[in-house]
Amino acid sequence: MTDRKRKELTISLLGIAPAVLVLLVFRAYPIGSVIWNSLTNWDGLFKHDFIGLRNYLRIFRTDYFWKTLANCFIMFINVPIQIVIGLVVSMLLYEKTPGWRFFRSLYYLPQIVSAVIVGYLFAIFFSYDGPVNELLRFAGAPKLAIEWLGRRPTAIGVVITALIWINIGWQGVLMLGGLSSINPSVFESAKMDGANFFQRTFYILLPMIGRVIEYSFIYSVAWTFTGLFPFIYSITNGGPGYDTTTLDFLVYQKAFREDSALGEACALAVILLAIVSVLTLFQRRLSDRANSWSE
Amino acid sequence: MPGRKPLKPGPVLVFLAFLVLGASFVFPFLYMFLNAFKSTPEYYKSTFKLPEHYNWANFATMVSQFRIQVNMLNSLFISMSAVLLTTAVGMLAAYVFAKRPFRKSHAVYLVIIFSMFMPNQVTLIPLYFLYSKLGLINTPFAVIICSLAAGIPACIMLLTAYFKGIPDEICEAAILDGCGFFGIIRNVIFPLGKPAIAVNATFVFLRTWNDFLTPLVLLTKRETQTVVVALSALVSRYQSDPPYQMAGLTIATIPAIVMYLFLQKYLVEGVNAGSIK
Repeated sequence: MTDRKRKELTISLLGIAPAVLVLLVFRAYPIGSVIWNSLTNWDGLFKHDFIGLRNYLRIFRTDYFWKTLANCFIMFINVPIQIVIGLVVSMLLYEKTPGWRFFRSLYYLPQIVSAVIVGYLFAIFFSYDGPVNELLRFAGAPKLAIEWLGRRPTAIGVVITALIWINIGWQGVLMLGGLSSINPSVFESAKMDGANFFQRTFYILLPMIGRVIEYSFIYSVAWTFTGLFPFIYSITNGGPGYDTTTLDFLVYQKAFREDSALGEACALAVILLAIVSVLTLFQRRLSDRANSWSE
Repeated sequence: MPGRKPLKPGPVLVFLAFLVLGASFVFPFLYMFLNAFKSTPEYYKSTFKLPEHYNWANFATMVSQFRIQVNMLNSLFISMSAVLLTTAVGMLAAYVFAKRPFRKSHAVYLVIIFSMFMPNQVTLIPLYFLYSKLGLINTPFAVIICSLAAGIPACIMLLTAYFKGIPDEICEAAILDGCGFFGIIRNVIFPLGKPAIAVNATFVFLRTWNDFLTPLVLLTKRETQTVVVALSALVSRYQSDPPYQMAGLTIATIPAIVMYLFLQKYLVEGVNAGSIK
């Protein structure tokens, strides 16, 4: 290697050095530390001894872990629903109905507001004296005016509604991008050949944006594992009991609200990390394919 | 009547469906804003009516008693710093990945991108203890660095893709004119990469402004907190006075909405460009 080339390489390396350094210290080191600490009885103060897999074994024997995991899987209901609604919205936007740009911006609005603010709005709306119950009483159905956030099924229902509501716009915009990359002449010639709306939808549109749907599906599933914290915190606070606690909320709960359970919190964090890593690998493969396909 | 088409029912139905769905997105925010003007008795008596008087007393209380402006300034400082740092660090790396690839640089790029979805819950536990050893809890620096680390991968992905589209000839001409590494960035990459840099800056700003978990853990004193974190104190403090809660929520929402009004074109297109959320 000539001196000039070596100098150029050094400059390149210096260019990526800040990014790599930040990621090493603030991403790689903490992840390594979490994995190591999950194998100890760390309590944040005195104890810090290696205890092997005992944290994991203890977690797997608790009821709240399985209940939390079950909650995560119940929350998944939001994914297919938001995808279907998002798809319908994108198809309607694609038809370029008058005002479609305005509606597109409007539907995206919840995405730019903090999830906590949306969560608090939902909590206020579904509180016992809140507007939803007020409406129900006004509509002559006072029996339906219940403590929405006080029981597991309705509380989970409220959270899922919030998740769908906040994501419809994102799904719509994403799918619209997929639709826009389809050559319109395909639809034109199908129309000429007499294909009706449903035939066009099921035989042309869905297969052609299948990759976008796959991508969005995996992304949303991963998001359901990691992004629910602000919603749970503001709407139900995980309660009653562990009834609406999700895995990401549980990690916070164990690490920052209950002292002396840090080893266990780290083990929970590693479980969460493992789930998300697998999903991310899937997603990267899919989005690579989606990219090469859309070019 | 020649030339006049009969009105088809299809588009009208679609338009109505748009309106109904749109109302579901407007109503909660409008409800929040209008009820922020009411007194507590008026709120419970007539939730769905327009306020009798538009007095700004509740908003004034947020400023005089809750001192929400302190938290707004914290949010602003943290978000702006995160934008500047992420842009600077990301731009340097993206320029190298796009225009000065070296052996194995693609592998480094892939590892960086892979770190994009590492959940913050995982990294926060060790970082909290690291920061408290260094005495950085309750400083904006702690949150800014976390936001930087979380934002770098998406930033590099977006900027690298965009910088690749800048013609090599321009960079080579700049080198012939005697530009060094930073000269090319200042005279070629930054001016030509502005659209992507703007999209990324918008995303980083909104994500940092709206982030909840990281500042919640790292900022425990009320006067150091960001506005979104302070809301949880606000909501419990005014538990029996929803209008005060609405006023606080409105104040915290306004900057994001104003920003959206100006930059929504970038945001909506950014979703398609990098599929960022």
